[in-house]
Amino acid sequence: MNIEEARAFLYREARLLDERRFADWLEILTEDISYRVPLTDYHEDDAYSREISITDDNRRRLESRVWHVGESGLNHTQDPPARTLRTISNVELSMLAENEAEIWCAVVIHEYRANAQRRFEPAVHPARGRYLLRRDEGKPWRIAIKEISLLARDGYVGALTFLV
Amino acid sequence: MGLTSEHADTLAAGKPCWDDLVQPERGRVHQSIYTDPQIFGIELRRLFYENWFYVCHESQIALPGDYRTMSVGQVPLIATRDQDDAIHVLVNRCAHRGTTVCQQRTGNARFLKCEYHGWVYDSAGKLVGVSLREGFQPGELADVPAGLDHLPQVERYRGCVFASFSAEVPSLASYLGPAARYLDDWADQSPTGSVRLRKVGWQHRYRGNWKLALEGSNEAYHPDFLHAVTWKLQQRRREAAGKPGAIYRVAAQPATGVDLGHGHSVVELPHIAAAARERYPAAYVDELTGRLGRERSDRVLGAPWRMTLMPNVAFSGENVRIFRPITPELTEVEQYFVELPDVPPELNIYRAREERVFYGPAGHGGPDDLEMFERQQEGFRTGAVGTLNPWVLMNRQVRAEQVRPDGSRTAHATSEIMQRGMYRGWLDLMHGPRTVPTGARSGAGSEVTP
Repeated sequence: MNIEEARAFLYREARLLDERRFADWLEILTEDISYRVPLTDYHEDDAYSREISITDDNRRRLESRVWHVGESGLNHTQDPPARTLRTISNVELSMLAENEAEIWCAVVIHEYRANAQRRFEPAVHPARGRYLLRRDEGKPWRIAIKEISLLARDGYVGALTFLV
Repeated sequence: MGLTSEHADTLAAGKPCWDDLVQPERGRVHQSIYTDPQIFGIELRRLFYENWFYVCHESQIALPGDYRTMSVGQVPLIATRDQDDAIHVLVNRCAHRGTTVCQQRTGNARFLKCEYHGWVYDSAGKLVGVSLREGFQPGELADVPAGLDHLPQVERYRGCVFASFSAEVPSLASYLGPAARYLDDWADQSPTGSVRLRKVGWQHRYRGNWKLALEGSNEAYHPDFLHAVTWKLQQRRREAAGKPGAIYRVAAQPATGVDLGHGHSVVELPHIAAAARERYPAAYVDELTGRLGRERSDRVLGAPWRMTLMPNVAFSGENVRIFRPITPELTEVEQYFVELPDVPPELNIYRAREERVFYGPAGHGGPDDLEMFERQQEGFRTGAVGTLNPWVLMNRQVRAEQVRPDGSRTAHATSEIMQRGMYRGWLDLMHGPRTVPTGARSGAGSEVTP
């Protein structure tokens, strides 16, 4: 993977989420995906410090989340569903092995809910992103770790009831 | 918006119209109590500043020099533990020019220094350093207070720190009343008899009146509906595992709401203990059952209830939520996870996960609650037109309340007795001391039905 490929990967991932193509998004995650939105700094090896977070999903929990957000009809904070626009920049790539890449980036998620009674101003969620990508020989890259560390993580972050 | 001109005139004349606006025995309140700035101001005084309130947990300021900042009503406070291990609740305002002296949410320091002119306080709030002291002329320092304002009443119960701005407020024991028993059960979840709270928690905020969160925190009529996703997710998991089974619904449970007096209330949910007995590590369940006996352990395992204390706190087995009114239509909520010391590590992990998946900012429960509070506040804007229906109902089973031997009133969990209890306390506090007992009590016995 080179830096251009890393950017292209992130842009596509952002578009899948913005377009609510959740089934396609699940396809680019590994079976052992770890999807994290931390509350504070934590130690990778300290399971408990990671539990005290905003989100720390394995694949099963993430699939439940996707169902809740996308299909359940019971996500009341997303009625109507928010439109989102992600911009990605400051992309840095570090190849850890031939089939393992770490990417750091800056992400800004703009969120707008067209609620007729409240006419929300768009919410803005700036964050630092860290990705660990892996691939099997000859297969496409997939996401093994996605960590979105919000600028306001230990302050007020709003309802993160879309997929960050 | 809000008050009718008649009510506004009554208030302006200094005659409270609280009994017109808040009618717990009829199970209804007037929506102006959620919108009116004048009522909001009186609430802050009567319910917050002249009452006890929850400050923090002692484990959050565990070491000498530890401090944390918070606001109660509009007032910025600092809770500290001094070098002699005493806990103080101080006002975060320099005695000199009024600047806040402490900026961090939590930390440890021997001294608190005002960065404007360099005045220094110790962790008991005593003024120990005035800069350029030698240049003050004789008599000029006489007007300088001994330190930061400190709250005259600070008491602890089972690790929870409560305080009051009033030196005359009755004892903490009389404020808590029957609520103390639940705090006993809460603390006895831990083998050491005291739980631990993390220093950092979730920060929520909603565009709505502070009372909506207090009402919503132990209201058990809504979960079967608003939180239907909880049991649908459970159902999906079970089907995926090939093990379909009965689905939990509050309305089908022998669960009980209790008005504890003083505006406090609790909803008892025995299924939480039953589930904990199955899902918590056996070593922990055995230790607890051995320590407390079977009967009491059923009241302690997982702390199977949700309790709110007027004016600013809600407890569950796994969390503490603190409510902070900012304006009549804006509220902040801080939520802290309850950790148990000396238990198998997987227990705290399990509890934290349950908590996060439901209540977290990205959870499938808590954000929906906040959403409903905002929608209520939206609905209250109808108060701008005086001819529209201004009433908010909480009258479910108001005619089925029963009295326990200790005098507390009960009804089924899905009744709105907890909310009526909150407003009975609200009325008493807003009126101030009076001699006539409030409300009629009726019925007897202990069976309740949904």
